[in-house]
Amino acid sequence: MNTNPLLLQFIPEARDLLDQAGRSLLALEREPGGPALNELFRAVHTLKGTSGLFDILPLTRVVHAAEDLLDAVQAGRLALAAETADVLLDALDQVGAWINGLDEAGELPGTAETAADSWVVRLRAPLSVRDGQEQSRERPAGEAARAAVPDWVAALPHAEQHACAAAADCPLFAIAYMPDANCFFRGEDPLALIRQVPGLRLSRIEPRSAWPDLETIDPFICALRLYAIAAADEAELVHLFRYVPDQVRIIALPAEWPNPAQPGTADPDSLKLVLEGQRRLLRASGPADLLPGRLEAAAQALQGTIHAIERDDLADALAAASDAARTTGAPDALLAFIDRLSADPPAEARTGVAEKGGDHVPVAAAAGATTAGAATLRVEQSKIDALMNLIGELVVAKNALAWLARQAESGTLGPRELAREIKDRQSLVNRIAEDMQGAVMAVRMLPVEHVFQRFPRLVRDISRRLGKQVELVIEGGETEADKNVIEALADPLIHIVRNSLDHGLEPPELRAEAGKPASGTIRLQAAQDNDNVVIRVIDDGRGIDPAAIRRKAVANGLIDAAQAESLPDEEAVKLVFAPGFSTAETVSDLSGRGVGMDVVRSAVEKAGGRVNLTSRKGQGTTVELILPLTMVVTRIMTVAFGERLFGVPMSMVVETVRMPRAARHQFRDRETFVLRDSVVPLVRLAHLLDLPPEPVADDGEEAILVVNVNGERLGLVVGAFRDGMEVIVKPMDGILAGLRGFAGTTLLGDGRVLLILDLRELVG
Amino acid sequence: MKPVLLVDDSATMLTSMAGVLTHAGVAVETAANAEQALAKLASSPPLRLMITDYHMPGMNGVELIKAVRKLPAYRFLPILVLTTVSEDSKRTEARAAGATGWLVKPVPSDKILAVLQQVAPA
Repeated sequence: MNTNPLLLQFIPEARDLLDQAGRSLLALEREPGGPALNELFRAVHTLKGTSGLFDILPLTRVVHAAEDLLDAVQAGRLALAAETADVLLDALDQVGAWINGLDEAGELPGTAETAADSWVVRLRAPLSVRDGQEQSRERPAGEAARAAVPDWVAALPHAEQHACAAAADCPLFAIAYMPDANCFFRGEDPLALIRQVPGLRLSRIEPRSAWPDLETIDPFICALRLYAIAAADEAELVHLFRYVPDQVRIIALPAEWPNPAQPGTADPDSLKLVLEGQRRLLRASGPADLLPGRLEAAAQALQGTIHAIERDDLADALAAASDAARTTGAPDALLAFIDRLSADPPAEARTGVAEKGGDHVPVAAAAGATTAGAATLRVEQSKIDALMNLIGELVVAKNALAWLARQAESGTLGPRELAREIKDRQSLVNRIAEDMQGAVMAVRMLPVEHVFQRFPRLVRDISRRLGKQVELVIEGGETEADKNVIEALADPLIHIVRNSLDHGLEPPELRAEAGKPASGTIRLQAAQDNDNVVIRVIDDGRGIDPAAIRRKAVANGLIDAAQAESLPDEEAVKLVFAPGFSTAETVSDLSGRGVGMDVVRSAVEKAGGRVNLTSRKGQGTTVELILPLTMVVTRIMTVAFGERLFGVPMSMVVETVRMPRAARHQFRDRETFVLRDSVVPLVRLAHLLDLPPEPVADDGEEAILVVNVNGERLGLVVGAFRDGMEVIVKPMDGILAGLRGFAGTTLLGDGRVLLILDLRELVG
Repeated sequence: MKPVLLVDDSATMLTSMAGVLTHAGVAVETAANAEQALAKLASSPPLRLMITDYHMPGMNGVELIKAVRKLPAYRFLPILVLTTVSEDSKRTEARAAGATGWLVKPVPSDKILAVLQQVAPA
């Protein structure tokens, strides 16, 4: 009996899956091609995946073989013959028996290993063509082939080969690791893996093939191969690479590696490099006063070189050359010496690393390059200075409080003076807090240019792909908005511009027919409008056909035919923002990322903004995004309703009026009132929130908050008006997240939670 | 802390992965199929990551990913799909549907945590 809780869970699940697989297999025989095949595959597949969690490899291998067989059937590469079904059923029985054994003994019987071998052979027999492949893949990576030295090792400079072999107390292994191109998506970290190699003597990283152009490079693909030489225990290496055995070759290096180098022969490649370096140094142009220094440097380097290659016999010649160079002030003598050295290289000149395909990158350097930057904000110096000044003022104000506390303690100030003093300090701190808020806001302000700058390239690439001529005009990029707003803007804007390119602008021929210039224009405009930043995307394309929109909306069940009929054109085109609406008949790979304009709308609304769309058929479309300048602080107006308080964003409030009840009119089923000669519909907060009707004020007047919702004026009947205030609105969280009608919450000074109404949701 | 949603029809697989994550101090939600997962998404707080199996009764993992990507709130949620070594085409399919990446079953515990840090750092 075993006590592993996970295994206890696995056993009944495995039995269920085996049952299901057996039933499906029988159903499949009765009705080939039915849904049973999918169920069968899924059951076996799940069993394989789950069994891999436990140390029951024979069972996993059998189920894996069964899965491969079914995979071939599912893909149509193999017909499920009756004999094959027999083998499958028998194999499932065997697995069932093993599961029973697991339940009783907690392990597979000792015979399972060999039995699994024969089951795998039987299950794979119908797939004989693929068999060879599979077998080679299944060979454990651990069996490091006792083969010759791999090419990449042989190509290493001799000095490095010797450095690796020096004082090795363990056998040496050459590791070649070709990470799968998609390895990053599986959380594999080839670099980290290579660095963890025990007894690491050397590592190399090189590109698998020549690097593509920067523009076409895919940073998510691993295009490297990694090499390492390690003096380690083979089992440790196999363990380290246990998740990527198919991508790694571990080869034991022969004991006699590397070939002992001839005395007096340094690595010819490094010699060549050193000499070439001196040549460049000596030939380099530059101010004449630097030349003596360079001559000295080269002379010293050459001295070291001849010593390293054990050609001290050349010392005199070098000294002569150096002296000649010093006295003439010209490098010619040294250059001649270098030529002599290169023409007379040490024996055993061989080709080396330099001729190999890829560039070697030391591991450490590559690691440095991968360090990702944290989110940073570039801020003008003057904005930081302003903040510093305010902090200074705050420190002074803080000290004044300590003084006040002492006064209160000693009782030198009467309560009245004390209160006055406190009020004074409070107003000072208040002023500083307000200024600081403004200063921090300023820090967070970025020009819209930040988002706009990516569009020229985007528009160019897409228009070329679509075969359209487009001119992009950017206006007002210097308009500033809060960083959060700017970030919220990016995605919707890309989507809108793609839409314009893809669906809005016509191909040149069609434009010519319509009497328009062949090249279309997309304007990207930004401007500040009071507390909002307004972004417009204007194209001069074909516009949106309201009739087509109506048809589509009716077809998609968004509205019924009668509603469609009564909808004015300018309203009809706004249906593109309705969830689930997409005007393009076929989804192109450009704008069709599975998202429509409804996503644009919801993204913008989430940022506290709104979207507007106007379109004239044949003349173009304008999409307008209206976003708050900042998302951090909101001005709200509080209104009371009986005991309850609610907040309404000040941006929606037009004015407050008090009206006698008699001034309202019943207009069919809607209440209205007349405000300066215009009729304004009335909505009751009690009705919207399903609260008991508000008590009528004694004077018979009602408090009406005139608000602007989606461009329409509306009177909201509330209990009473209260203060306006600036608050930080927190979005609805947790179980409240799904609540409609509220924009968020904020904490009041007395600790109460104030609900901020979302009138667009409540009224709309 | 935002939870990780695990979707798998195998309770064993769920327990195994949830165990690893919970042990590492990661909050976990589980769903036994795509429908349950969607219900969870509609009602649960923001998620850190979703890991879904490919083969499930009813909607499969890729269909689930497509459905999730249609929800505006989850357009940028990292989603990993569980596949096996041999399922290259499934991975491509999942990526096309909007998966962030995939995990190969069985997922060793250090790897699941490493991937979590990688695609959805806390």
